[in-house]
Amino acid sequence: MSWGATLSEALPDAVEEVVAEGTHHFVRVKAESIVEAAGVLRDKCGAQMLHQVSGMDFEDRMEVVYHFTAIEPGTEFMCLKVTIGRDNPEVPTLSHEWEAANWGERETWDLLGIRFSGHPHLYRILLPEDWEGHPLRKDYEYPTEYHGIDCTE
Amino acid sequence: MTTEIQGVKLDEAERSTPVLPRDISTDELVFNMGPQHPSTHGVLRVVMRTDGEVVLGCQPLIGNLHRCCEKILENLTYVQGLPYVDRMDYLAALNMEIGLVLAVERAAEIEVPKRAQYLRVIMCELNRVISHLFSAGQFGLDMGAFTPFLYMFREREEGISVINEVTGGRLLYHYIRYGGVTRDVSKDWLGKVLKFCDRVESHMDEYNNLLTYNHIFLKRSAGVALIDRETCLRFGVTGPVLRGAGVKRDVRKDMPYSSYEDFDFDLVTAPCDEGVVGDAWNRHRVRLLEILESIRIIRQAVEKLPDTEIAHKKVTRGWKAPPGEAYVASEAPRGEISCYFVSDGGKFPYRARMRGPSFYNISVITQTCRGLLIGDMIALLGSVDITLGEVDR
Repeated sequence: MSWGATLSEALPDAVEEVVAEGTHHFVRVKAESIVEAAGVLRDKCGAQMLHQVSGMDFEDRMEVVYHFTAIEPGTEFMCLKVTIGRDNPEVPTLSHEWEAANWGERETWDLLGIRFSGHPHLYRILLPEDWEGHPLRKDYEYPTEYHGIDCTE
Repeated sequence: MTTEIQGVKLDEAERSTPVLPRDISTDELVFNMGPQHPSTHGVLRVVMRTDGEVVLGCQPLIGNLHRCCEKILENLTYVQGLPYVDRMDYLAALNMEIGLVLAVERAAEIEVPKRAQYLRVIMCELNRVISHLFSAGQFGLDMGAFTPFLYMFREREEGISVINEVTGGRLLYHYIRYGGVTRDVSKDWLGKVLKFCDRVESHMDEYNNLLTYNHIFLKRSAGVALIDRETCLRFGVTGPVLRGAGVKRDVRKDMPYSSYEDFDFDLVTAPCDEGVVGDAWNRHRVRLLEILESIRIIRQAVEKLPDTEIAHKKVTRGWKAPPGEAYVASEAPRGEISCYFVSDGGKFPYRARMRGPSFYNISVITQTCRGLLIGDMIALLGSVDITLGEVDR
């Protein structure tokens, strides 16, 4: 996992943890440095595409997980994670550099309620604009009705 | 500036550079296409800002088919949850199954027997063939060619029957399971698979003569709705759209899974014998050529099918994945499906984040639509080929 070493060399203050064992390799970076970390992956490690933006809710904290990929045979996914508090979670947006983050982050906001500061268009994307709550949160309460439609079984 | 129509907020802020020269531009008109328009391939609503016939900007409004597949997976056991991912891309259900299954198997470190891996390859490639036949026919239908659609459906129907014989389903199969597949196949069935392959191959010239090199179809699609390499990479576009833009990227080649490294096949990129790289015609052509490559893979897999068991470890009711996580991608007909799977050791998956390739593929139309004619928007939507079930999940 050479990209992990490159990243911790380029941004020693931003990298919190490099995990190169087990079934999933990732680098945990500080939330405020996510844009620079993604820039290092692009400039020095050959990341060409933001493959996926995932949000995670761990009940005591939240995470945003980014998977980058290079376009070459035998490549592996480069994964960055940021950890944020559960009340008022906010991460700088990547959508100015990586257009794929635009919709990926909107979906993460929609389903998990993680805000992306600087996002040009942070509105709900899959759920209706007047939906209450963020369903993929572990403490989500299912609605009993929506505009007069009964949602209980 | 954010404009708002009927409660819909349009994101035009960074794309406000003029499309038309000032002296020929007229009043702008904002209108709505879908969600029942036939060419939107499902329930997609696109709000377009136009000047005359020219599209200045658009915003796809998705979510009409949203059922929060990820939340459903979190609330069901492993065995119960698997059939739900079939419903994401209902035209390529087996490719959806393998997307989830591979991630769980990687995280739980389950070895899959060789025969099961080959059977998965045969099934997924069969599904790719029938899915591409559908997409190519549907694109022809969008472009005003009704007959090729019926011809391709004729072969597709036979493909569905072949898969149906083993899996027991026509569209939604629930065939691939954790650790293997459900049912073994007979010699007789393998013969039917080969016969199906021969039949599709023998009809390929017919499709090309009728549709691909048809003069009207060429006029409608060649050189229309360009999506270039850089745009594809920026928007996370994958699959035939990316390869149609000339990028050599196929997860089956770059990060082989399920024994794809055992087979000899070519990575198809834009052939460009008509049109230009990245146009609607080349995306269509890539799909038809990929059908031939899939047939090549199927033939090799049938020939080399090993004689082992078909499920190594029975993941039965109450099975728990050990704590861990994995991210695995696989190549579905519409692009790269991947799953970020996290387990906390409980009997439900803690999180199974699915990447719908169409979700990222459709986001590109916000950029590509600029300067197209309204009629060419149909060529763009049809050639990008989305399945709304997978966009909305």
